[in-house]
Amino acid sequence: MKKILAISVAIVTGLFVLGGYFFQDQLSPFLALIFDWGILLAGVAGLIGVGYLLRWHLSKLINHKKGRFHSVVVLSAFIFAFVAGFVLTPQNAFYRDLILNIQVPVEASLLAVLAVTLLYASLRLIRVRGWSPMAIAFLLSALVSLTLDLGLLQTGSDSLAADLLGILERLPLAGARGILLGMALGGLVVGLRVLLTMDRPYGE
Amino acid sequence: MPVLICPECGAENDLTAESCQECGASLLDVLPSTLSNQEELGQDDLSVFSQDDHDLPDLLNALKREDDLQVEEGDQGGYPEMPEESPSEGLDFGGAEDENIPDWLKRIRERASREKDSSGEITQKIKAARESLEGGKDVEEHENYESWIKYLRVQGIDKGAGKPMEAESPDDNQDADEGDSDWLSKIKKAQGKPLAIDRDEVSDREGDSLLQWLVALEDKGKKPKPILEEEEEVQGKHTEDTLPTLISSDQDDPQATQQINKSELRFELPELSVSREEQAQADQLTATIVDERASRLPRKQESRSFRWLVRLILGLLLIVGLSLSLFTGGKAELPQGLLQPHTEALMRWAKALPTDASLLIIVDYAPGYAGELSLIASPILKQVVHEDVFVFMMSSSLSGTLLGGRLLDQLVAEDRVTDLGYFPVSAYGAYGMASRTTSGDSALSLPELGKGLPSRGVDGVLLLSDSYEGARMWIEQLSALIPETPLNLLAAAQAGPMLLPYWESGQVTGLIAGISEAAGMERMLSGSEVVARRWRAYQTGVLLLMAMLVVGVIFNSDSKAAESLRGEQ
Repeated sequence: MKKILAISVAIVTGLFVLGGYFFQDQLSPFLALIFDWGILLAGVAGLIGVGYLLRWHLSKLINHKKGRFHSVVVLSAFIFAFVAGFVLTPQNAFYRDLILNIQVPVEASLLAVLAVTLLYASLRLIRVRGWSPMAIAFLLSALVSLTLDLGLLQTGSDSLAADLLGILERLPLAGARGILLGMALGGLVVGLRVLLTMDRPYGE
Repeated sequence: MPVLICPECGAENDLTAESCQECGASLLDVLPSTLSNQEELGQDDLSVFSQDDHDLPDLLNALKREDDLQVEEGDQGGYPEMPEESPSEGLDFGGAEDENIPDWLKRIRERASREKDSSGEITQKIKAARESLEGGKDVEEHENYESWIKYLRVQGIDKGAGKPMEAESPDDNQDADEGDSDWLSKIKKAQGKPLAIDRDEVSDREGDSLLQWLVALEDKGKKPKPILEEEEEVQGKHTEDTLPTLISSDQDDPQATQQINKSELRFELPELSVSREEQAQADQLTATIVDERASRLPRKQESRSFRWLVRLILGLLLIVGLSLSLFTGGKAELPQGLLQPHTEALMRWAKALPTDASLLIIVDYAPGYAGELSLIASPILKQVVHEDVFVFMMSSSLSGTLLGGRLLDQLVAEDRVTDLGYFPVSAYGAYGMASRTTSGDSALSLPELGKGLPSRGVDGVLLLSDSYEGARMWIEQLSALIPETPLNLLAAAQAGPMLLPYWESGQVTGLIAGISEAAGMERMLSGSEVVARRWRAYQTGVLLLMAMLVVGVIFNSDSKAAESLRGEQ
């Protein structure tokens, strides 16, 4: 019975949202209600996730488990940001700088580390694979892309070099669009499978 | 007579002995035992067997009780009948057939009557029992014990023989089958022993004592010979085409065996069903084991100091290069090709925007891209956002409200900015926002779900995004919802190439992607070099990255290791 109910709700909701694209005037109020429900449920799920995370760190702290210092940092940061956000509001300039002056450098540093990690991974790939055709192609494509990104190569407007440069610049675009087409087709198929109950991501 | 039995060797010692006279083990903790020696057994008129049952060993006691029950129930199986050549019969020295026995046997019997050690324990016991029977004491009881002891002897011989029934002669086999009661069959099956005995073995081992058999029975280290091995041995002794005639040719006997052609036998192997998943797991495990056992080339012992020095040099080179490119003065030379057509289109839109326009700024980037997006957006925002412009701000990233507030804080007064809040586009798409076109623009009302696009419309939309996915959702919805409103993209370099088709299709009015294009726009709009210097540092970093890539590939490639790896694969 539960399975049938879940399947019915999923099918009706999916068809209702899909129909809203074609009959927006008639279904707009109901769609708004459905979206409100969805966002509300997502908020509740977020609260549950926050509560679970807090409980896990608290239990780690109470039971004197390994790494409890990190739990102390996490709990302190959470409590401080939570209380400050309630008291000062997110529109407050001090609160905004307080959060962003920590968050922005941390995330930017992670991205910088990611760049170095990718460089090392490419070196290791060539080290392991040796001078194979794929490794050589990878190295050349990386160097050409980086060189083009620098913007140092300049050509005339109507020259053969300009055409060649244009082809090289369009190579990543062609590959990326091919990937996007595959993703779009995959998304379409997944949507149809959910509507036809061949896939049941809502669980059993 | 109570004695002290040594726990180590089993020797009997006097009650006053403190240590064993045989092995020297301590007897201080040993309690006196009432078991008598062999001489007392013989003189005690079969005292061991005529005593109460608790004097018997446990195994004997259990066997006797089971057999007593069967006798009481009138079981016809009863105690087994011993064959004619039973060793106990041969010990009847006083029989009528003495006249027919040969001289050598008479001499043996005479010697046995004189020397007590000439026969085994059981023989002595049986002899003593017969003597007592002749005395008229408990005739029936002793007969029962006698036959029971005989049967125990046969069972003990079974234990020692370990021969299958098929190896016996037909007569012996039949006798044994008749003599085996149910309880004995169960015991034999439980012990993994064959159900028959070899009478030759019986005759060979008739002098063994019952105690020796009990010791052998309790010797767990002596395992029976597997039946399969015996079958293989039997097969090896005979021809290839036939198996031996095992017991009897009597067709009426259901237990009789016949000669069987080996070709007619079908040995069915047990079926082994392996699923595909199990096979895959087994293959993976095998591959892992092979990989672990594979011989690997020893790693070169490189000098740690050398590697540390190389890393230090590379790190210093990177830091110094970036610092010099960032903080040194001079005019940044920008190539003319940085100004792309989609950038020029955005510039044209900015110049055509009225002074009292209303703008919708959508913040859709993570804090990690805040530096890049602020550099990209600052030239155009300085151009279009001023004190007379009314700005609506909406975010679709978790920190969008904070990032947008910081971005607009120094450009426009706070009262000219309306925060429409956060909308989870990544989770629900922009359709939810688009379905609320008729809602008001009350920024202060809660919850955020009640907010939507400004009902009075805007003169332009600036979408700041760091990813293709977020920008795509906003473009699809806004281009369908407010198609007449110009939509401009300020995207990170990684999302620029993917978003370019939207400009080519006309869904987007203008596009700036990456610092390089922002630097070109800044040069054209204001002539400033703030973004251009960052662009120069970016170029330096990319050049260093390329240099490290080339140097690393040249000096870090290990062709031998790669060939070895390919060979393994």
